[in-house]
Order: sequence, then structure tokens, then C-alpha cells
Amino acid sequence: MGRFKLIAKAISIGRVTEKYPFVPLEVPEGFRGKPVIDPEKCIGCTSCSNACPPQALQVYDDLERGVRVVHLFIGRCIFCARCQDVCPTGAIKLTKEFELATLSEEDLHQFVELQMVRCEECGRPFDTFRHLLYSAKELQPWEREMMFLCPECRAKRISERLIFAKGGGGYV
Amino acid sequence: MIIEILKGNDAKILRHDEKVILALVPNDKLRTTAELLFKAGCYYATGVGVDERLLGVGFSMYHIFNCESEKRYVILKAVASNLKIPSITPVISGANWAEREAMDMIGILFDEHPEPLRLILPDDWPEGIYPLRKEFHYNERPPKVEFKPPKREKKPGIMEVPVGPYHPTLHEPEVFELHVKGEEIVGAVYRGFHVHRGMEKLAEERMTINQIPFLAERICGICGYTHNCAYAQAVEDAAKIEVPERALYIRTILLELERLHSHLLWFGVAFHLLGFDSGFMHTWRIREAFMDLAELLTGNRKTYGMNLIGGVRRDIDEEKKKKVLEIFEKTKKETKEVLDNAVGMKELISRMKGIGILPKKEGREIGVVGPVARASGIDTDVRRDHPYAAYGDLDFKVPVYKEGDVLARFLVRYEETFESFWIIEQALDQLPPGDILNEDYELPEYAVGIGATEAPRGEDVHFVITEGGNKVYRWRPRAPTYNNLPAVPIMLMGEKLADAPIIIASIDPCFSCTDHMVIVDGEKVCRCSLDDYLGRL
Repeated sequence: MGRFKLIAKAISIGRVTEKYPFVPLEVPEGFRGKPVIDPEKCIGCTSCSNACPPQALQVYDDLERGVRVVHLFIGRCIFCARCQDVCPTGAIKLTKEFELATLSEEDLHQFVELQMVRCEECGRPFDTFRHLLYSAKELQPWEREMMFLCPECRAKRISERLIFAKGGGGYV
Repeated sequence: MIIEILKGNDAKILRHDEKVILALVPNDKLRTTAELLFKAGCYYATGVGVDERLLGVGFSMYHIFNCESEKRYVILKAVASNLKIPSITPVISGANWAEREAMDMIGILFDEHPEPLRLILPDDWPEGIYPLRKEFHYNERPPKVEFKPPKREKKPGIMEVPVGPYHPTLHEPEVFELHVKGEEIVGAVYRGFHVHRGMEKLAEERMTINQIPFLAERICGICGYTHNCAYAQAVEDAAKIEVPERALYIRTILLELERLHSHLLWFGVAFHLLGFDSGFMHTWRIREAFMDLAELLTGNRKTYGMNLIGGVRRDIDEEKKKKVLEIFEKTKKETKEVLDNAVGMKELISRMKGIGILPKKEGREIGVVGPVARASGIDTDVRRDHPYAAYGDLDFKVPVYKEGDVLARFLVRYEETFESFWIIEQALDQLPPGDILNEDYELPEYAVGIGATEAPRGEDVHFVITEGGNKVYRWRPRAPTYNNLPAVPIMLMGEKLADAPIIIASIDPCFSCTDHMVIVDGEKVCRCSLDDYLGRL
């Protein structure tokens, strides 16, 4: 094939450049685009923030207001879909959206606020309602009565019981 | 044979299996052992300095050798006494950078190193602060110290032509300073390390084992998946994790898909540099089909994000398989058409023929890898010599040319492209059923693992020490350009200035992966720091 054949080839193929952005671009099924959290399904379990490689997802507790904040910042996101893999309730999904350029940085943040439960004993918020209910299914009956205690108070309660069961402070 | 060399030098064998021999060598025997290994046909892959004080050992250096004849990697471990380890650079010149890197990052001193100068850290970095020591935190910013660049004097009759700080075609930060006398290149300085990203520190300190694959993938923007695979293999090797067969086949398919797109990208760049722009357009048009295939199989065009420790994340179902084969049938024909057309162009061939020659002997001493090695008559390929993924079950040829010029490197890649088509077709055909991810494993404490892959540019070596739990204690990736770059000044010597761009591009360099420096001064070839070089000018 000589040079002229290459020209003929180019003419037969024609233009391959896509007309994007004037024509929308189709992406295949399973494309990893912008992640979106469904606030109705999120239980605030922190699985996603533990798995997220670039820490684009962060979960922190606002103890004063008694809410757990799930904060997604797309500016850090690498679109790996690990959050989607590990989410136990399917609350976080990667969409097909990839046009993320924006004039205001606020568009790149998503906050999900979840009401927290206060510990019966010390009054400190320690877990979200939804996560507590979600994990209650797995609990043994004898554990359920202590489910409204924070981990520290729960440990204290259990050790007190053990001491009582073993007959006083002799074993402590 | 290797094991006899080690035992003859009082080495304590710490690990001995079919993939790796790890031996603790006494410091006084280190240099002789390394020399004997090199003479036995093992070439120097890389060296890793590790801060093992938390393990009660102190600072240590791991020298990794690739022993093709035994299909094994041999790791020599030496422990610093009073921060000192004898240097092996006097007997193996390829160890120069690795030792200096350990010097910069860990603070080990190498006895009798020919040029114990700073290599990685910037000039304004304070003395005595070593970033890869465990007490240094990843987000620490030490104060800058004042640095005065040494005064430079011009040599009469020699003109300096800077190429950089951004490469004109590869869009990566590097500086080649070419010294020309008329049209002829008489010296070349490479200055890099502008994009050192501190990935190793970040991985050790902040990330978990299943997060690092995504960081490893971002080492390179073209051949990222092979880094991802090499890291996963290193951890799987350390923890002895069984990977499901189907996952290995899927990895193979994606690795070869990556090689296809990478080689076509290189052909495009090479054609562009040679002034054959319609060839550039055609190869990149064909390449687009592979990008779309990657998007279909993995969910993204470039950062596949497919690996986790123990397997892959997405399956290839019958429908996708059919689609791949369908697109292949078309693209294979087109690739052949366009590349054969290029090979048939006399003026294109004569622009590549006989320039940028790398002799076999020098190539072996430097330890060049991949297409650069194979074009210089060095028959090496990790896929065949250390089978990983599913390459052991598949049939493919390894093209080797002995000319050592740019054309040979072009032809090696040309043949490899069609081997990749063939490998993917076989892998899709033989794709075994079963699971794709094995999550049932436990990470051992302080186990050493090594993972190697044949990236489009050559051998990728990843070295991992696990920490237990879900952390790594030390992770060190070595990209192929690290070994290939020292060969560029040798190729450039005595060539015409107009040929420099294609010679530099002929190794398919990846500066962000590597970033080191090489200097050729007149007829003498040496690898030393820019300051030292400027001081001598």
C-alpha cells in the first residue's frame, strides 16, 4: 500500500472526530462516572470512607448537633467505585455522568446528615439510628438490651455484670 | 547454581522457593556475591532501602537480581552496621541510582560508592532529613534551605540546546540539555525528578493494602494497569494468596489490551516526530477502538481499577467477549494495513535505520529492559521468563532484533502488537469458569514479596514487605524507564541534532514513572549529578 492508497483510505473512512459537545456522548453500561449518595438509603456505617483510596469520602460526627455527616467531595474522587462495592445498602452508586466542570465548587460536595442516637447512660451520641437498626438484626437477644449504650458504657456494664456473676470483686 | 554461589559466601537463606531466593549476606561478602551473580547471568533489577528499626534490625538494603536462567528473582539483603553498607556500584554500574536513592531517602551510607551525591531530593531540601524513615510523616514539610546553583562556564564551540522542561511531544516534565558542535551531539544532560510524588510514603503510612492498587495505577498514565498488577502480585506472593484462574485470564486480557493501546500510541508519537502525520492520525484512530474496549470491560478508558488483592473486580461475560472479538476482527486488519504501509515507506525507514544504536554489551551492563533490550539482541521478556497471570498457558513469540537502532525498536513493537492480538484471542477462547476474587486470606507480618510484569516499556518490579493487618511496611515500585533512560545518552552520542527527538522517544520513555538523571560528558559516559557535572565544566 503506497501513500496514495493511504489518502484513498482516509477519504473512504471520512471524519471520525465526534461532534461532542454538540452531540451527547454515549458511555457503555457499567461506566464509572460521578458517585451519588442516596440519602434515604445511607445508614452512616463508614464502610465507604474506610475503603475510599483518596479520602474523597469522609465520615465525621458532629457531637453538638448529634448528627453524623457523610461528606463526598468529587474534587478528590478517582472514580474507582470501591464505595459502590462495599456499601451494604446500595446507597452509593456511580452514575454515567462525567461532565463535572462547574463554576462553583459547592457543586462538587455532597453532604448527607444522619440523626445519631444518644447513649442511655452518658448521653453522648455514638451511632446513627439507621445503622443501629441495621445491625440490630445481627445481635444476640442478650446483646439487644444494651444496644442503646455507647461502646464504653457497654464495656463497663458487661464488666460490672461479670464481677457480679463471679461473686464480687475477688477476681478483679 | 545460584544457591551454591550464595551458600559459598556464607549467606543465610531466608526464603527459597520457585519464584524468589532471599538471602541475608554478610557485609564483607556482599560485593563478591553480587559480582558472581552478575557473572552468572543475573542482571540488576533494582535496589530497595528499608528502615527496619521497628523490626529490631536497623537499616537494610535489598538488592534485587533477575535470574532469567533459573526463572527466579534473587534478593540479597544487607544490614547496615553503623549506617554503612559496602557499595556494589563499583562492580555493577546499574546499582548506582538505587543506592543513591536509598542514600537520599533512608540515609544509608554506601562505602566506596563512586559518586555519593544527591539524586532524588531537591537541592533546597535540608541535610539530615530522610523522608522514608519511619519517624517522618507523610504530610511533613521541612523548611527549605537556601541553595545557590554553581556558576556555569561555557565551553568554546559548543552550543547548548535545551529540550524541556516539558518534553515537546510526550507532555511530561523533563529536561534534556543537548550539547552540540555544529549538527553533532557531543554531550547530553538529563535532569528529572520534577514530579516525585512521594507515593511510597503515602502508601506505607496512610493507605491499606486494597487502596494501594489504585495509587499504583496512577504511577503511569499509559501503562498504569501493569503497575497495579505488579503490586497485587507482590502482595499475593508475600502472603501466598491463591488467585482464581479466571481472574488471571482477565488480568492477561487487560494487560495485553493495555500493551496494544500503548504501542499504538507510541507508533503515533514516533510517526509524528518523523514528520509522518497522517500515520499518526491513522494509528490514533485505530487506538480509539481499544480505549472503547477498555471502557466496555472495566468502566473507564484508562484507569481500569480492576485489581484487588486476590483477583479482579469485574467479570467478562459472553456478550462482552463477543463484542471484543468483533472489534478485534476489524482493528487487526486496519492495524496491519496502516503499520505495513509505514514499514513499506522507504524514507520513513531510512530515517530510523542506523541511528541511536545501543550495543548489546552496554545494554546488559546498564540492565535495559523491554523492547529496548530486545532490539539490542538481549532476549528477555518477563512474560516468558517469569510467567505470571495466565502467560504460562498461552502461546506467543518474543521478537528479538540484534541491530540495536531505532528501526529495530520500531520493529520489535510492530511484531509485539500482533502477538498481543493473538494472546487476547487465545485468552478469551480459553477463559476458564469460576470465581474472580479470592477474599479469604490473611496478611502475614513482615513477609517479603516481589511482583514483576512486562509493561509495554519493559520489566516492572514491585517489592513489598507486609506489615500484617491490612497495611504494607514498605512498597517500592520500579518502572522500566528507570533502567532504560541511562541508555539514551549512549544512543545520542555522535548523532545529528535533528534525530534527537526520535532517539529519545525510541525508548518510549515515561518520565513520571522514573525521574532520575544521566550525564554524558564528551566521550566519557557517567551517571552523576548535575551539580557535579556543572562543577566539572
